[in-house]
Amino acid sequence: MTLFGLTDRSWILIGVVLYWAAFFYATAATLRSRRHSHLLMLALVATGLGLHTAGLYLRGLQVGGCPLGNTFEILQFITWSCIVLYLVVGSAFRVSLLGFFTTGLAALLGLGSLLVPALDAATRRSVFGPHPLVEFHAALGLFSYGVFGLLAVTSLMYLLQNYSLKRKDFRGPLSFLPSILQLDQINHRLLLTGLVLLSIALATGVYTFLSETVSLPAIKLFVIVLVWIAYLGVMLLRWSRLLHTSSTAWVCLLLFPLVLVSVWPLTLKSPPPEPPPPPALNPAAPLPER
Amino acid sequence: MNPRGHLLLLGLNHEQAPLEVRERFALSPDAVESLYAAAGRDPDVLGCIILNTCNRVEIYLYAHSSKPIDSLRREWLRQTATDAELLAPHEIRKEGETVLAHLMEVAGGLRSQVVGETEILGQVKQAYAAAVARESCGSELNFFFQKAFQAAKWVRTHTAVGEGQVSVATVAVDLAGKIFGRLNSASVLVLGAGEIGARTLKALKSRGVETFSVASRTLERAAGIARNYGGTVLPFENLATNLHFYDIVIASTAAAEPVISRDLLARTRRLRPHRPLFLIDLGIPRDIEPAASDLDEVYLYNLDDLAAIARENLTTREEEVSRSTKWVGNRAREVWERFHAVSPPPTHSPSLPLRREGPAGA
Repeated sequence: MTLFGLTDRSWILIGVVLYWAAFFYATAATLRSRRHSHLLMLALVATGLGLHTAGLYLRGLQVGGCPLGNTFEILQFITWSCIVLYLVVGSAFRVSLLGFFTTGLAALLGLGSLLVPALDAATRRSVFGPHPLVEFHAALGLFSYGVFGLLAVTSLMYLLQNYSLKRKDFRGPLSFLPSILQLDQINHRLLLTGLVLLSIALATGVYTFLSETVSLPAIKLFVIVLVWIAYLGVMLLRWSRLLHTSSTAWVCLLLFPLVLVSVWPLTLKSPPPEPPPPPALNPAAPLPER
Repeated sequence: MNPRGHLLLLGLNHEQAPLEVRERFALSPDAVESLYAAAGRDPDVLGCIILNTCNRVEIYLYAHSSKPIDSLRREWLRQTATDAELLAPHEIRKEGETVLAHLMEVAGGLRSQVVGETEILGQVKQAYAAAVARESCGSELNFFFQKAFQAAKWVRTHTAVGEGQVSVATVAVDLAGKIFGRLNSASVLVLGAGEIGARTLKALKSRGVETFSVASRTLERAAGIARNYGGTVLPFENLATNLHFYDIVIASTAAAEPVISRDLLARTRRLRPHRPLFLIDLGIPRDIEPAASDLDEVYLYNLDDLAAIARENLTTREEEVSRSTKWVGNRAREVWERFHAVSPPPTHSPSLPLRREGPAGA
C-alpha cells in the first residue's frame, strides 16, 4: 500500500530525516552559542511529525489496527509520542533546548529502528486479537513510554544544569538550558502524566487479561507491571521526600533505556483465541457417516 | 591654536593608580563642590564635568586655554590634602581628540575595571546631569558627552562587549535566573546591611524580585535598606526559624564566624522539599559554611566564585574590546572633525556656558 507512490517506511524515513535536520540545525545554533529560531525548529519538527504520522497511518491501514506489532513499529510509535509531547510541552512551557534534545532522541530512535530490517518483522493482520480494549491498552501504554522518553530528556537537561550550577561552570552551549526549577516542575508533571496513562493502560490490560474472551501473554503484563511499579516507586519516593530532585532525575534517565529494552516482550503475539468448545454430544443425534 | 578652545582631561583611574593611591585622591561631595567652584571662578573655563567614582576621578574641561587644568589640580590636591609628587606618577592628562575618545571608551565600559560593565554609563550620566544642574556643563562639553552616550549605546548594541554578566551583583542575578527562571515568585533574604548586599538586592529587584527581608544585627541599618527597597525586617535572632521561607539568601555580614551552618541548611532543606536554595555569600570571612555546597538543591556561591564567573565572561568580552576601541577611535575622530567644521559650535545645550563666580546655589 502506498500514498502518493511512497510506502509507509518511506514516509517515516522522510519524517525522521526532518527530525535529523531539526537536530542538526539546533546543534549548529547551540555550538555557535546562539539561540535557535523557534519558528524554524517548530516548522521542521511539525512537518516531520506530519510525514511520520502519514507513514504510521499507512502501516496501520496495512495491519488493520494500531501499528504496534513489532519492535520497529513500537519504537516508531514511541518516537512519534515523544515528538507530539515535545510540541505540547515545548509550546506550553517555552523550554529552551528541549527541541535540541528531543529531536536528538527522536532522530536516534527513528533512524535506528529503520536501519535494522530485522526489527520490522513481517507484518500480520492483527496482533491484538478481536478485543479492541487490547489495542487501546497497547497504544496508551506505549504513548506513556513516549512520555517517559521525554521525561528522560528533561531529566538529562536537569542533570546538566545541576552539574553546571554545582561545578560553577557555565561555559559552552549548555548555558542556554532552562532554569532548574522549571525543569524539575516539568519532570514532575511528565512523571505524573506518564504514570496516569500507564495506570489506565495497565488497568485495561488486566481487565482484558482476566476476561474470558481474550488471552494476553502473561509476560506482556508482567513487563508493563514492572515498568509501572518502577515509575510509581519513583513518584512515591519523591512525594515522601526520600528521593531528591536530582536523584529523581537520575532514576528517570536510567529507567528509560530499561523501558526500551522491555519493548521486546511486548512484541510477542497474543495467542489465538481458544476455539469454542465442541457442542455436547447428543445421544439422540445420528452418528456421522463414515 | 584652536579658535574654539581646548578639550582637556585631568584625572586618576584604576588603570594607572592602585587602590591605595586612588583612595587618597578620592573626592568627597564637598570636595567636588569646591572643584566646581574653582572651575567657575576661572574665566578661561567654558565647561566642567567631574566624574567621581570608586575607580576614577576625572575632570573634563572645555576652556579657552589649557591653564585651568593646573589650578584645578592644585585645588584637587588641597581638597585631598595630598602631595603633587604622589599624584604625578599616576595622573592622566589628555587634550583634544584623545579626551573625546577616552570619554567614549569610559562611557562604553571599555576602560572599566570589569570591561563591559554597565554601571559606568549610569555614573557618567549622573556626573553629566550634576554638571547640567550646576549650570557648569557648557555647550561644548554637552555636545561631547551626548556623542559619548551615543557611542556607548553603539558599543552595547553592536558588539558582544556587554554579553555575559561581569559584575558580582549581575552575575548573582544571572545565576538566580538559572535556578528559578522568573524571579517574581522568589523571596530574598539579605543578611547584613553592607553595600554589596544592597547592590545585589537592587539588581535582583530590577529582575522582578518582589518579596524580600533584611536581617542585620544592626536593626536600624536593616530597617534603612528595607525602607529604601520596600521590604521587611527579619529580626536576626529569628534567622534559623525563618530561613526556609526564602529562596535566595544574600549574606554579607561582618561576622567572624559563619552565621549559617551546614546543619541549619540541612534542616532548612527538609522544610522546603524540591525547592532549590540559592546562597550568595559575599562576606569576608565567609558567612555560610562552605560544606553546605554539597547539599542537594543547595547552590552556594561565594565572592570568589562570582568573580571567577565574571572573569570568564570577561574573557569572551575582551575579544570584542579591540574591535570596539577601534570603532570608538574612528567615531571620536569623526565627531572631532565635525565639531571643528561646524560653525557656530553645536548648541542644544541644556545649560548655559559656565560663567559664574561660585558653585550652583552658592
